[in-house]
Amino acid sequence: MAKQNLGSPAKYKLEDRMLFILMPSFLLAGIAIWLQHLYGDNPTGLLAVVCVLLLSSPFVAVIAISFLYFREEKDEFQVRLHSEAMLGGIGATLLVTTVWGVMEQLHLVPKFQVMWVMGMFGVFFSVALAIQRWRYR
Amino acid sequence: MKNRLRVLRAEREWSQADLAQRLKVSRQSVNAIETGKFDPSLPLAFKLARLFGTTIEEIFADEA
Repeated sequence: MAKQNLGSPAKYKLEDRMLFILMPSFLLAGIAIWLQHLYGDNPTGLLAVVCVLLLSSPFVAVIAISFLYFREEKDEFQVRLHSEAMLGGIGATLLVTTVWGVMEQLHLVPKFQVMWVMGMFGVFFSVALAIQRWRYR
Repeated sequence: MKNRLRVLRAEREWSQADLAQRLKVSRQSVNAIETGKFDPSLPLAFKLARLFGTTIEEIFADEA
């Protein structure tokens, strides 16, 4: 009875997937960065493809985990909270990366490490979700 | 959309958590519906109506 108010089964699955899918995907991305550095930040051929695939794994994991959560969550209000928070997170990330990208083209800022995008999205999403939860507390 | 959820709930002396438990949703959801910040879907509205033994129209009223 009390467990129902703490979170839905979909939310527990989301947390499990974050731990067992998203976290290892960060490890894979870390391996990709290590491989890149190992080859002088300029890997070629198959190694370059592997690096790209490993680096994109956290993004694929987040999309897959979110898709499953939206499909499994029966509480429509929670789906709305999460989808709005995701939109907020994606929007803020797009804004920052676009501004940074333009500044990078103008040689005003250093080169951007692609892995920061995932961390940035995580922070923006968490802030957006916290704001949403506070609004509807 | 206006609703009588708070009144119906109070008549039965249910807390928001009690109602959330019966509806199998979060307490936040009940609060959002009660305060008019969130309009439930038809299936959830029917569930509410069944739970309170009334009709959807008796619970929700269009503000337009």
